[in-house]
Order: sequence, then C-alpha cells, then structure tokens
Amino acid sequence: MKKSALLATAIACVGLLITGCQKNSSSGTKNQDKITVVQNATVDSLDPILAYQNTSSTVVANTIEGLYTIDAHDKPQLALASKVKTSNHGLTKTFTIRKNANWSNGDPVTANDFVFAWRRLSDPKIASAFNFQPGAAGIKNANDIVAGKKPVKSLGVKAAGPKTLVVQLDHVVPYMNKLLAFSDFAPVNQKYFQKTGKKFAQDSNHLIYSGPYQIKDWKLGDNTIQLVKNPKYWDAKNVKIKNVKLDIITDPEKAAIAFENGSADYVHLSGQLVSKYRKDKNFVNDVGNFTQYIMFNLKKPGLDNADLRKAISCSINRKEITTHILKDGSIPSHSMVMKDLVKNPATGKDFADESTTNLYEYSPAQAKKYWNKAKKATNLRSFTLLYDDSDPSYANVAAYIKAQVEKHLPGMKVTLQQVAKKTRTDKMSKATYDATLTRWGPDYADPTAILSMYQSKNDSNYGRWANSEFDKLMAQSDQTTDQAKRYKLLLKANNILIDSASCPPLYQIGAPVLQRANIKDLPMHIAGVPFFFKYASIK
Amino acid sequence: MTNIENDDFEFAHKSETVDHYSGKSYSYGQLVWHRFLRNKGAVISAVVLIIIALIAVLAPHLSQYSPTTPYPNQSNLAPGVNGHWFGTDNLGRDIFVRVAAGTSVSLRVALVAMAIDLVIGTSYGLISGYFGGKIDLFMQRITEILSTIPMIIIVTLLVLVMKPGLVSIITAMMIVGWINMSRIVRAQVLELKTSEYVLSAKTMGESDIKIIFSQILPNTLGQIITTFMLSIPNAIFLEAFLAFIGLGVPAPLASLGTMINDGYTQAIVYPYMVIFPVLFLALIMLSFNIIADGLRDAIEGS
Amino acid sequence: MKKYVLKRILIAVITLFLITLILFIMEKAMPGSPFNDEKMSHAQVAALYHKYGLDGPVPLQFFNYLKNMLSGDFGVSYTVQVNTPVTTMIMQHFIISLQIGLQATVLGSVLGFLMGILAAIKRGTIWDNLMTGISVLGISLPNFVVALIVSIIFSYKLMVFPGTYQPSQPFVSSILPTIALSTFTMASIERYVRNDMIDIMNSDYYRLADSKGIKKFQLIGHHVIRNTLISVITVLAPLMIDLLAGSMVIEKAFAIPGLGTLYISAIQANDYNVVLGITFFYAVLFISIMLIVDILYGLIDPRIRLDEGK
Repeated sequence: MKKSALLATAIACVGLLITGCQKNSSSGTKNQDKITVVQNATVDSLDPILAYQNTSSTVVANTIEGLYTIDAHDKPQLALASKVKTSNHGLTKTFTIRKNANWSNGDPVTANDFVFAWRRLSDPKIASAFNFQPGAAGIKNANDIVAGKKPVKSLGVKAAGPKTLVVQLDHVVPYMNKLLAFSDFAPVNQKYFQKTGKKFAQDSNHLIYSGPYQIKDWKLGDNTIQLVKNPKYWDAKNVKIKNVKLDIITDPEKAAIAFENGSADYVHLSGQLVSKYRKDKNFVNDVGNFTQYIMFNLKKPGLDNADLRKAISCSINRKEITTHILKDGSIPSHSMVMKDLVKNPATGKDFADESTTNLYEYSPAQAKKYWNKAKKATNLRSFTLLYDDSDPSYANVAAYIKAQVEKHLPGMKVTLQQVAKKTRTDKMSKATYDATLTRWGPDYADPTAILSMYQSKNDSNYGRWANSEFDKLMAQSDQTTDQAKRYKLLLKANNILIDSASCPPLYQIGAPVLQRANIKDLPMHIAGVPFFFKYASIK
Repeated sequence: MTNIENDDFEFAHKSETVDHYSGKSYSYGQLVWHRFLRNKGAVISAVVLIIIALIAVLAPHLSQYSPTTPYPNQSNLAPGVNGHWFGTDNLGRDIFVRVAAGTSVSLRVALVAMAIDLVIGTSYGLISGYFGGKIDLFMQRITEILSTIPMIIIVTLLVLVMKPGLVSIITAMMIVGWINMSRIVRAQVLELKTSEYVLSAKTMGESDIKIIFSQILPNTLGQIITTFMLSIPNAIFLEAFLAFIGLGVPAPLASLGTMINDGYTQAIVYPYMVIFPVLFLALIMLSFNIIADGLRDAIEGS
Repeated sequence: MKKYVLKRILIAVITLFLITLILFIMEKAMPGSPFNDEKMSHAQVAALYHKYGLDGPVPLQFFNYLKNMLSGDFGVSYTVQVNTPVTTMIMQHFIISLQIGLQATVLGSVLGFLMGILAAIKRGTIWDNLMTGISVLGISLPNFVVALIVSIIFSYKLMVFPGTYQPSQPFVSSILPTIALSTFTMASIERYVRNDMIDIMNSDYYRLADSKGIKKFQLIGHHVIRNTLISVITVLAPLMIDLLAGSMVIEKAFAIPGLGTLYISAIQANDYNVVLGITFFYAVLFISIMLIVDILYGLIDPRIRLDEGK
C-alpha cells in the first residue's frame, strides 16, 4: 500500500511539474497573438471539394484563399482577386488576380488554378457534396455538367491570361460573391495536385497555401490542427493573430472545462451548460444556423390531411421548448427561413420577421378545432415520430411533442423511434417514415438555400409536398434580377409553404459561445464558412 | 448360476437411489445456506439488492410522478425541491422515479439475457461434455471460433444491424454470454463423468437423459449458480457500455446506462442527474459481486 | 508444441475469414449507406457508389475485397478521413491507444499484484479488508464512471491534468485515462493474486518450507510469487481484451483520437472499410494475444500440456 501510495504521489507530482500551475485565466487570453478555438466536428478532408464538415471548411478557407472572403460585418471582400469587371448585362465577370498572390511554394496563383479547381468541383464523377454550388452561383452549364449532360470542359470559366479569370453566367445570382467565398471554390495548383497524387491534402507536407495561414505538423485524423501565419500571403501585414489552434472536442462539457482552465479561448456551448454560463462575462449568445422542424411524409395516408398537420402543430408550445427544455438560447421559429440570414433589400427588415407569423402556433383551442375537422376526414389515430441521436436534446423534444400531441388531440397516439442519423436520412430519402424531427441549415445566405428543396421536383423534398403555385413563384424568382421584386416572390413562396403545415418549424437553434472578451471581430457566420481568422484581433 | 435371483437387485432400486440422493442434496443445500448466512457482507448485499428491486418495481406505481410525462416548467429542480427527492431532469421528470424505472429496465435486460444464457450454456456444456468424442470436438470448435471474436465487437455490430432496442440488446448479450457458462459446465461434466456413481448408473442401464438430470446436473448446480451471479453484473455493465457509446435502449425507455449517458455531458451543471443513476448502478454491481463471492465461498466450503 | 501452434493458426485463419465474411454481409444489411445525407442527391450518391466500386454484386465486391486484403490493401475511408488508406488510419490511431493501454496494463497489474500480496500476507487484518474493498469497488464501478470522477477532481476542480487529450503533451494527457482504464485490471489482479497466494500459503510445500525455517520473505519472493505469476498471466490476457472495450469508452470520455474513437465514429458514419479493417485488426490482435499467453503459460509451467484437446 505504501508503495502504491508513493507511486501515485510521484505520478501526481510529475504531472504538477509538467503542467505547471494553471490559473483560471478569465477574460483575457494570456497570449497576444495566439488563440485556441474549440471545434466540435472532426476534419474529414482538406481537399477543398471534399471538405464537408464545418471544421474542414474553416481550415480550407483560412489556408487556401479564393476570390472572396467574408469580413467581420458579414460582407464579402475581394481576396485573391484585386478587381472584378462585370459586362454583358452582368453575365460575364472578369477577375484580375493579384500580382502578389502566390502559393506558399513560390508558384504564382494563376487563373488556371481556379479553372482546374472549379472543373473538379463540377465533375459528376468526383461527386463532391458541393457540386450543386457552381449551379447555384449561376455559372454557365454547371447544372448540365453535374447532370452528366455536358462535358466538364464546357463549364463557364476560363483563363484569359495567367492572371485573368473570366466567368460566364447563365443568370445573375445576387448572392454570388458570398457563395464564391465558400471553401469549395478555393483554387488548386494543378501541377502540385498532380505531383502529390493520392497524398494530396492528407497531411501538412502535401498541402500548399494561398491564404493567411498555413498548417503546421498535421495529418488527417489528428484532433488538433495548428494554423500559423503564412509569411508569403499577399495581405500578411493585416493578419493580426499569428497562431490559431483548432482543438476538436466533441463533448461540450469538456470544451467548457478547457475554457475554464485556460486551454481554450473560444468554445461552443450547448444544452444545459448555457444556464451555467449565462451570466459569465465571456458569454456571447447568437442565433445559430439551423431551423429545427417536423417534416411530415405526405405520401402517408392521413398525414396528407392539412387539418391533422395543423392540429399537431397547434398542440406544440415552442416557447416552452426553448425556455424550459433547451435553455440554450434557441428561439421559437415561425418561418422556414431562419432569422439573421436575409434582410429585405428595401427596408432592411429580417425575412423571418416579415414572413407569416404565428401561424399554427400553440393554441389548444385551435388544435382541438383542427383535430375535430381532421377526425372526420381521416381515421389515422397514430403515427411514429422519428428522430436521431446526433444531439441529446432531440430525445427530449420528441418526448415533449409526444406528450403534447397526446394531451391536446385525444385519441391520437405517438410512437417515438430513435435511430442513427444515417438511418434517419435513409428513411427520409426512401419515404419510409411518418414524421421526423429534422433540421436544415443554409449553404448560402439567401432564402433559396432553404426554399428550393420544397420544389416538387427537388431531390431533397423528403416530405413529398407539391404545390404548383410555390413551384411557379420559385421559378419566377430565378428569372428576376430586380432584388425587391425577387424578395417579395420568395416571401410569398415561404408563406405558402408555412400555410401548408407540411413542415411546421419549431425553433431556431442557439449558438451560445464562451469567447475571451478581448478577442474582437470573430463572429460566427451562419451560412458558408463559419470563421475567417484574418479579420480577428486581440485587444 | 441359479442362485442369483431378481430380488438380489432390489436394493439398488431406482426410486431408492433418487431418494437417497435428494436427501443428501437437501442437507448440502442447507449447509451452503448456513455458510452463506454467516457471511455478513453477502447478507447485507442481498438485503440492499432486495430493497433496490422493491424500489424498482414499486416506485413507478406508488409515486405521484410519472417517469415519462414531461413537465417542462418543472425542469432541472435540485434534489429536495417540490418533493422531488432526487430532483428533476431536463424535461421536468422526477429523477427518483426515473432511476427506479431505469433500474428495472437494466435488471430486466440483465436477468433475461442471463437466464437465456443459463439455459443455452448449461445444455451446450452438458451435451458437449457428456457425449464427448466427435460431438464434443465439433462443439468445441464452434465455441473456440466464437470466443476468438472480441465480444464487444459482436455486441456492437449486432445492436447496430438490428437497431438499438431492448430485444436487440438482449439478443446480442445472449449470443456471446453463454460461452463461458458452457465451458464451466463442460469442465464439471468431464470430471463427474468418470466419477463412480455416474459410472455405476451407466452400468445399471440408466438412460443418458436421466443420468444427466438426476446425477450430473444437480452436482454442477453450485458452479452454475456462481457463474450466473457473476455474469449478471457483467450484463448490466455491458448494457451501460452500449448506452455510453450511443447504442442503449432508445427513449422514451430509460435504463441506468442511458440515464448516466444523458447526465454525463452535464455533470458539472446538474451533477445530480448523473450521481443517482451511478449510485444505483454501483450498488447493484457491488451487491451482485459480493453475493456471488459469498455464494462461491459457501459452495466451495472454505 | 509446433503441431499445436500450427493448429491454432489454422483455426485463426478460418475465424478471420468467417469474421470478414459475416461482417461484409452485415454491413450491406445495415440501414443507410456511407454517403446518404440530407443534402446529397441520388445522382451524387450513385456516382460515389460507382467510384468506390460499391455498385456491383455483393459476392464480387467481397471477392475483390479479399483479393486486395491479401495484398495488404484494406481500402480507403469513405467519410471519416476521406480517401485515407485504412491501414494508415489504423496505425495512426492505434499508437495512441496502445500507449494508454500498455500504461494501464502495467499500472493496473503492478498495483493489483502488490495489493494482492499485501492482502494475503496481512490476511484478516484491516489491510486485507481495505484492499478487498478497493478491488470490489474497482470491479463494480464502470470505468466511464471512474473517468468522470477523476476528470472532475483533477481536471475541473484542481486543474492539474488536462481533461482532453493534447497531442503536444501525450504523457500528461494520458495520465487520467490511464488511471481510469487501469482500475478494473487492478481490481481483478488483486483478487486473483490474493486468492492464489492464500491457496499456496495453505499448501503443504509452503508449510514444509516454513517449518524448515526458510525466511518468510525469501519464501514468498521465491515460491509464492512465481506460482502466482502464472495465474496473473492467464487473467491478464482476457483483461487486455477488456481494455479494448474500455478504451472505446475512455477514449470517448477524454476525447482521445485513438482506435476506439475511430471505430465508433466509423460505425456511426457507416464507413464500411474502416469498420471492417478495425474489426479485422482487433480480431488478429485478440487471437495473437491469446496464443502468446497459452504458449507462455506452457513455458512457465511445463506441467501444463498444451495439446490437451479432449
């Protein structure tokens, strides 16, 4: 026993010596040019077109810069391009790439690097998860190439000189600049790519950088990734934070502990941790990028009855969910398009606030009314609510919905089914479910990022909802260049969707974080790449 | 050759053998029982276990709270507030009642899985050991191959393919759990097979089934019971392990394992959400282990 | 001996083949695919199936997999670490698990051994009760609970050790996981050693030696510990396999990028090749450890005949 006690003490002492005495560093980081940011998703790939997880696209966008970045005020800024000329009614864009834009191995960044990269992105054989994006940006022939109808070479992008990139568009897309700031549009040095072959982007020895940071000593699978300032970056003098360390910690409580003991400066909070830190001076609460909603499978007899869906929607008290169950800064949601995503170009008001409000909100009386109507039209008296285990709060929300529906719609029975996320998406795409708790986040800051999936022919229309007027409005908005008019069309489409109660929104998730108070200009962008460290500073 | 008459054999009449045997077994059982009672730790554990089992069965019915109905505006109350002994969880459900209900789910999973194991493992071991030869060789190859696959892998993959749920967890545990039992029974049978009373029963022309049930099985009972008791905490642990890696019983059912898993990520905010299920789990495991130890000592007569 | 080892290897090969076959079929039966996601279109998923050769008939896929496997190619990851060869991934993550696993085995068995000896020598005293109490507790507390307790005390309250794995300080960040992982080993070894020692100390030859006046210390050092080692080695093998399960839990609890974490995330992502590769690797590891232990057992105690088949 003495020996073991001695051993334990010895181990503890060695540990103390190595770690030193860590003081609870409160509002300021110890270091003036180094921050540690905790991420909750792993890096799946750093190949720009394969980087699917949030963490991956953050790393790519901060190390391999493209034509645009998004600044701290959510505005796109020219990055590797010094100027852009628009001609042919906005359908041709000519980018001039900066003279001093170089890769970290000394090669200049050329127009061909973009042509090569964007063709890879559109190549249907490579099947990048983001291959819809060139089409969404309006680039000529992109959709046909993805569909296999045209060769990859026909993509509307070409190099008119080593530093001159010409992009041709099918139609004008107002949010194109923001889209081009996403990591999948990053340039790829063709020569380097071919030289490294299968090893490309597998570790820091097989990557070259055009952005503000480069990666130090890393290989795919590591749970820490260190970004250090890239001295060859064209705008290096404006990069204020020299070192950014990304730590991947999936357990939110561990992340909070890391913040408390000073080993992290920026962590996401989730769930119940928020109540603990709500009053902390480092606490920042923002709305997040996902809307959580119920999706009904309209192919199931009974659930195609709008009154039944309205009755279900009216029996759920969103406010009770956000304030008593989640308590994490989530807010009740009334619109499919989330708050803080799009503003009215004319008035500056938020799209979410302007859409039909309080439709099928919690109201036992309304629920009863719709339920009585529905009972006459359908004999459906039970359905299964599907949800996945990717977040612990889903089980709580599902249990609450079950209790509410069974309480307010007497005679209706809800069965809960918890599955893995892959199983849920599989069931959704095969339409073998009744109703599911699901969420959707925007890939870019425009209402179409949410609404287009509800078009009757869209692959992602998992509810199988079809409305010809909605389809017509969406098609019209695609052809409209007048921003104010387009906004109105999309608002109307959004309202039709809500009115159908085919996918009643529940809440928009919160994005509460703990951030050292002296870190400035590091907002989390809710669409596209979450962080651009270039603009951040420590005061 | 004529002086051997039929009545010479009357003495070894079947019924008498059984009578004689069962009497001996009874006194042996009594002996074990007395030895067990002398072990204070084991007796206390047994009492603790009985109390926990009573709570698990009765509390959900007697309490004014339901383990499943949410009361969101009562969520996350500290222990003792508003009559919630262990506090409430994120949905405002009473933790005491939930721990009780979770205990009964955990116990049920373990008991059902192990009971099935008992039947499969015992019969497999009996058959393999008693008949020997080619049958034994073949059956041993099967267990040899099965036992080289890490148990945790079988369980994880099975639960995954069959979708997490009570039935799949029990099935998965059942598939891997019986091997140990069958080995122990087989080893016992091999030993007993050559014992004099079994040999004599054989020469008397007793049927195999009769020998197995009246001679061999009762004599391996002690070992079987000990193994059974020891495998229950293993099963409870396995269920908790599955819950911890996200493959536990799906909501709205809750086991101790899934409750610990839920509370784990909020242990610094609401410690009572994890402390009480952990306490119950530890008490159950502890009690079973101590009882099994006590039983073994009692049976081996140390 | 040679014949016995060959026989065992043959059985191992059959087992591994069966595992691969069953797993391959099971993976095809699993709901979902590696690629399905809300935002992926059918065309994209079909293109990826084609790209990775998952669109052919299953027997052909299995045949191809076996063929590649024999040449050491276990395929690439589909989603977890896109396009990284599975062998690279296993080696990369296993090194971390191995370090912690070995540390835990050494710590657990040394502590357990010492505690067991102490309990046996001081049988019936408070020391014995204390050691037995610790060991029963160690067996009864699941290691993720131990992980929670040590990380709250040492990482959250005292802030002496990191609560999550830091690659820059591999040893310091492995201390808490090692402690959490070793408790079960420690407890089991303590029990075996104690019981074994007591048996031996009750044996005739011990009494004989004792009566001959051989010093107690020498006696224990020479005879008892040597005999006890045999039983320790036997229990250590299955315990090392338990560490495998333990490592999955502990790695999750301390955010360690080891093989267990990789296995869980691959399972959740339906990353077929990774799941198959790791399972195969675990099985080879398991079978080899068992074989080595059996041979060791024979070497330490020549009385045990290995080819005792019947």
